[in-house]
Amino acid sequence: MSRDREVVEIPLGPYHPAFKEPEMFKLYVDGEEIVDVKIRIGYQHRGIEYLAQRMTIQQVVFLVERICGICSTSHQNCYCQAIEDAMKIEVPDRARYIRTLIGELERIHSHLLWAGVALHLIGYDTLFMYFWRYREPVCELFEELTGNRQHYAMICPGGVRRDIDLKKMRPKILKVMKEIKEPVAKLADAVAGDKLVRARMSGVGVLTRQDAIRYCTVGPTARGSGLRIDVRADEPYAAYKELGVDVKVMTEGDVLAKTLVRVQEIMESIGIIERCVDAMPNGPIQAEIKEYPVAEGIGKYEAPRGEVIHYVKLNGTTVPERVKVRAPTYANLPSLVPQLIGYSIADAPIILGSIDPCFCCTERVSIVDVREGRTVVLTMSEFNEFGRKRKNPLKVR
Amino acid sequence: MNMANELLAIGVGVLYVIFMGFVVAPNVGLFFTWIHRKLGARMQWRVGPPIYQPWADFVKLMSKETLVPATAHRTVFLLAPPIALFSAVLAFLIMPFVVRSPLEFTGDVIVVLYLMIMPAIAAMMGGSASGNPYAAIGVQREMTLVFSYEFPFITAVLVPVLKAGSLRFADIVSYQMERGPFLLSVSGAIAFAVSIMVMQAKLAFPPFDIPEAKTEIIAGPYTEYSGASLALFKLAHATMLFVLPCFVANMFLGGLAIRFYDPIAATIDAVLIIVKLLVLVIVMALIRFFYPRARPDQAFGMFWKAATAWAAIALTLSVVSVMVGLPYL
Repeated sequence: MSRDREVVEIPLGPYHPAFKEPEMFKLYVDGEEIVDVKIRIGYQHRGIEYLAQRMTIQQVVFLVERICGICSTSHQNCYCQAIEDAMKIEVPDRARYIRTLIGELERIHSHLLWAGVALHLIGYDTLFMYFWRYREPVCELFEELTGNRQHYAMICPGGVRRDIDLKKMRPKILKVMKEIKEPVAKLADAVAGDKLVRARMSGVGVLTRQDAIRYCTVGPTARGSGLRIDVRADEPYAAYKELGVDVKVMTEGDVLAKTLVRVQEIMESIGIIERCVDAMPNGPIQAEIKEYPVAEGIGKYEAPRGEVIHYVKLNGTTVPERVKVRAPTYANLPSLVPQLIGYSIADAPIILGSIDPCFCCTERVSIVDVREGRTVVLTMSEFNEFGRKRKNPLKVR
Repeated sequence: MNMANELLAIGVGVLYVIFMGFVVAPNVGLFFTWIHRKLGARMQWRVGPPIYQPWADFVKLMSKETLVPATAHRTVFLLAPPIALFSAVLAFLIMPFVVRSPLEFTGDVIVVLYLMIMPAIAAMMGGSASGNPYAAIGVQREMTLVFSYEFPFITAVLVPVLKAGSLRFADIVSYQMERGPFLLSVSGAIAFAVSIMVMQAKLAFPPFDIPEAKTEIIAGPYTEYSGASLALFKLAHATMLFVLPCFVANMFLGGLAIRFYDPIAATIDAVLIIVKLLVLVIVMALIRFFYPRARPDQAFGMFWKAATAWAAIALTLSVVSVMVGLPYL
């Protein structure tokens, strides 16, 4: 990128009204046009993986749930799948269906939340409120099903913690699904049909299919660029093999495509939930954990934002030796660079928002930084040195 | 005797300025902001604030500390908010409202047009004096926006000026009281529509809230403002929410005068004043809450292409109507 023109650095963050969480995007702009982007994360590091190595396997279930406030059950589910993979536990059928139900309800509420935030980012507050109004019945349904609007604590290694009284809840679930189906479709039409919304979203923040592959994007970000990837269909977990998933793909790669993919996924989730409630078998909801082996396991889960991967290493005790998390935003974040370059500052918030970033999920590495205007990013060995010998790296250099 | 009369006239003038300028204008403006907030809330499935909320906000901000950033030019930074407020108030004082203004003179339309740009210019002054990068972008956007909407606005305002053949508010209003508001003519209706669009931009409401787009540039020029100086900016904005509908009503909707000599006509006029202002304010609220924010280049395009073209058409039609003598063209 040639820097001979007048290039101004505009920091977006660490605290900025467009973001719900602290993160920093340094936009290098020429007038209004973005010519380069630097992404800095690391403001949200909470040491979850470290904590996980000091808790029992059963306690970590509730720790990983708190990785994210929106896709909480995704991390929980994924972690339990990793544990089950390591321990070779077969999950009972009913538990698999309940997991699917909770997971799809979460996808609906997460996508509706995102749609609201995206419209807020382009200054359309009325539709933002409308989308969140239809998210409310889903949260209330969660409260009735699990006891909580968020952080449902439903899933445990080997099954689920609570049963669902289908006789009582089935009509309620179907009623909520019916209640939100039509309005959400109408709102989606309003978004896709509004001239000014189209002008803001279509052709903006284009991620080409090639870039989507090269930057290893996942979830709706990839599916908006024509990549047909979805863990639910590719490596079915829970009850997706029986219930089936129609993966929604759009090829345009712009913000509008990513929005419409999410809206179609809401519709698909409603369908899955209706099928799931009808097909749910009876039986036990939990498999017993008989022993703690020395083993490794991997869990893969399609969170609302994309593929989550949890890795666990067990050492024969009740405490896991290592828990490693890779959240979808970590995979999607670098793809923002090709999406942002060439567009204007006014487009930046909606483009940043279009990958549905969730930074508290992503923060696993902290970067040491700034003093007196100088920025020093340490290498790993320098960082270790700093820890061992207490040498101030800023003075060493 | 003559001297006493003159003194009396000056006294009445001063009282008018104090009462209308510093009591009526800001308070009605704050009431209109409440209407906007309440309507917006009801449209968005929210409850909305109680009626005293704008005043409570103002008092709260006045009682807070005003911080001046170290990088700011102190004098300009602190002078900008009062300039914005006083220009808005002065613009209102020159216009006829209920009675003819004691400050009126030939050519007052031009002065009011200038005074109504002043809040935007004050925001630019304060923003660029604050030394904040977001404010700098906001100022740049505000400036481009002013340049793009001011031309179609003045072109649209020329329609009633040409038709009435005067640059004086009193003449324009009395012309309309005799022959019906300009809104009822083709050129007047087009110019009115253009003015509504410009009003939206002058108040930085969606779809033209680009100078202070909060998800992009925090608060634009107002980013560094706090306490009393922010309160004054907010009050200036609220006053403009009253001044602009007054201006448009005077220009296109037959004016805001009351015929005191006839009690029935006076009652009708009083009701009409309230209806005209409320309709304008509600139309602005509807546009504000049912549009997303346009991107800067899209907004400038709307003004430079569509609005300017329509204003030019309206102006041509009005010239034809004056020359041929067709009042409804």
